[in-house]
Amino acid sequence: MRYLCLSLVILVSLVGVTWAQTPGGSLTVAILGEPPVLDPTASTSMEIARVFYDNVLQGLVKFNVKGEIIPALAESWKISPGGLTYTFALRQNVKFHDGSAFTAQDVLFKFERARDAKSGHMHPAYYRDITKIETPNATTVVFRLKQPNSEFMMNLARPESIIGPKNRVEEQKTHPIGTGPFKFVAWERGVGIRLEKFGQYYVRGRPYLDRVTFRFVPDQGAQLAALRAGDLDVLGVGVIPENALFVQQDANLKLITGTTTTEITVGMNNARPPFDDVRVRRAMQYAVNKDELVRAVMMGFGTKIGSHRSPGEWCYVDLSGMYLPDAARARALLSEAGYGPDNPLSFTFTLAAPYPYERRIGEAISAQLARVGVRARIEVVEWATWLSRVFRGADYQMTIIGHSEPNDIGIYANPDYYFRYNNTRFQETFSEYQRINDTKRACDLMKDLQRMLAEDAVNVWVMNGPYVSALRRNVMGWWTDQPTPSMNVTEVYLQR
Amino acid sequence: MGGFVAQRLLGAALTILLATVLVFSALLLVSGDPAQTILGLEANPDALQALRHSLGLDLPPAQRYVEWLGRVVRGNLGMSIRYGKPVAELIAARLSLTIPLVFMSMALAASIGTLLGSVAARHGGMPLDLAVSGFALTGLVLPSFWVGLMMILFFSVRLHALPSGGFPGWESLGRALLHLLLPVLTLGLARAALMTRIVRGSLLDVLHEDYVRTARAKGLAERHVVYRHALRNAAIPVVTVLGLEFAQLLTAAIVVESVFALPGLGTLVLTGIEARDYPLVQGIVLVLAGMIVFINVLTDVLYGFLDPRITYA
Repeated sequence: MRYLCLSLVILVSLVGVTWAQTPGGSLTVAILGEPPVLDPTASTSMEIARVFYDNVLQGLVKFNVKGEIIPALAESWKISPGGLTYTFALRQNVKFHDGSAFTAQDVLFKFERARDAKSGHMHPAYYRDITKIETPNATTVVFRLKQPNSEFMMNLARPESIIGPKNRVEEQKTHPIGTGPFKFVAWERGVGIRLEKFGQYYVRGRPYLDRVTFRFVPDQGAQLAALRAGDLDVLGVGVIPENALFVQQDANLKLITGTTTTEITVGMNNARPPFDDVRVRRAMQYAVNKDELVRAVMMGFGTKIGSHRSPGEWCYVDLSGMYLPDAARARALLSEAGYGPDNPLSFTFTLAAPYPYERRIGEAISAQLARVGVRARIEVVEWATWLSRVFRGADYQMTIIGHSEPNDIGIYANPDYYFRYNNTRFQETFSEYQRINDTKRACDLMKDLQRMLAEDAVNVWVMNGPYVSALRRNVMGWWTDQPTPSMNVTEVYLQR
Repeated sequence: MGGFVAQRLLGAALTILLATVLVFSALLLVSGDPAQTILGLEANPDALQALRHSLGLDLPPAQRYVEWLGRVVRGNLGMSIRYGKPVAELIAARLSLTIPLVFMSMALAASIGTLLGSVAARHGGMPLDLAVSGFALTGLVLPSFWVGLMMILFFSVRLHALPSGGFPGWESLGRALLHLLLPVLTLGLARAALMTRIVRGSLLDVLHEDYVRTARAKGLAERHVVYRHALRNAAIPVVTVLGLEFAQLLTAAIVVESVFALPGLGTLVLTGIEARDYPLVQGIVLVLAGMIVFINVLTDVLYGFLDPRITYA
């Protein structure tokens, strides 16, 4: 009798699971920004990856929700003991959305293009260690590297490493063809992007949904209203804290809060006064109260950090306690650097208009700095101006922005990057970290890099940008974290 | 009359030309690189340079403007940098929403404004007049983005009666009008408030004229006096305001389209400015300036029909 009961329970649970994941239905997801093009190899805009990564376009490997690298178009891979040869066994019988077969030749075409700096492919540096790509047969690809590269697999999992049909580069910008569970249907400029289930997807039974629409809704208030009215199913990204509180109170909705790889960073121009003086930069660290910012400005959403790495990332070291708020120490350091009541430190704090989290945090930081006698004059600029003046021209003193790219500490090894941080020891350590073929040592070096940045107080790393998403209650399987920017709908289903 | 219209059209062409020069210069003055906004934060310099070259952004600004103008004269507004599609095609698609939105709002504003304004004028100083004036003042001070959000909260979130935003296209007229109802109400009610005040003020002036007193002395009914005699003469300032309102409505549509996530000309111009999409912004300015100037000429011509005493030398 006990066995009978147990069997019944198991049967009911299995039926329940199957029932819960009933295929079918359509989903409408709101996103704040519209991608400039639809091919992640043609632009570094995160909006492209948010819509297309894994949903439509896939590479040899991909990130899962935990940030682990898992198989995608490659079933398995082997790395030679010296770390110089990577052999990938490709999945068989994979079709592109146009019906053509995916083969090793597509992989060869893709990565030959990717490592060519003149091809227009983004981030050729990710692939520069490749010396040769071999395709011994239709389902095997061998990469030979000139030197070990501890980030090679991670780079292959990034959105830029997606693979499309060979020789069809231009078309991908407006009509992406991939191998993912959804195929691209239409991009209505200014309105949204429509996807449809791909019937020949290589994983049986996936995807669950028939159709997905990503709608561009730039206004946060309109987004929330449309969600509550039932016109939207998901607010995919960047729900502002006050809207999150509304969502929590609505019985028809649910809130997802998780981590991202975004470091909300107060960037300081290390090559220009007053921030070319490490004492001033350290004074800024002591003057900023991150707990207060998380609690009061972000209403508890977000995790404070102390260097340029997010808590969910590999070999993260928590340095958020290195400079605890201390107004007296901030004043003392400023005084050492020649600033005081008679000669107050004064500079321009450039905020980028379109980013709500960063903008409001920037305004609060300006008030916190005023407590130690620092005058940060706020200047709000449009995104195009920010890109041109701050990011490209480094014509700024202090700014604030979220850096969303996963594992991007290498930007500090580039002295021309807009922080203008030039530390030979950091550059050498980063180079060693990239070349090492020993996971434990690589992890130690990654931690050293984070410490070095914090000691030099290059920037004020305020918090790990929270992932806040709002959904209707029946939407299941939505990614809870953002190890890479992705509105991943590959496993999403509607509970009936 | 013909000479007047020709003179006005020449002035209009010069105004439009000047507008495009001003906008082109303004976009040059604010920093920003269209290639960078397309390729993103970490774009490699080679790709950036190649894109700039292919878009002609490495040419001197004056040459770019003259080339653009040359294309426009031949009827070609160029390609959008942001969307990679012909500017004319993008504008036409958006105008198919914005023009009906603006005209429906204008019609709503004119109807409500005329009705309430004349009622208020007839009952000048009485409680009804005060109530109408109160409505007009309230409508004038409330920002349209707030009114829009309140409309969504009430009609869409609470009553589930109307869609909260988006536009399904004109394939289904019923669905399209349903989606436009709240935006038209939002835009139209604010403008109706202004129209009410103008009609009321203008009608009150006219109602003190001698010919109105004569009409009353003849024993005509008050309704007859107001609607048959006074209203037509009070219409000139109203027509002037309607002409001006057209430009105002186009501007207000930018905000309303944003709140209701409508793919109209307003959101397109915002995208164009943010992306420093010179051909797109120039094209939109050309079309908008053209429409505004055309409406102004039309307003001038209408004066003659409304008041035969006005002649065009």
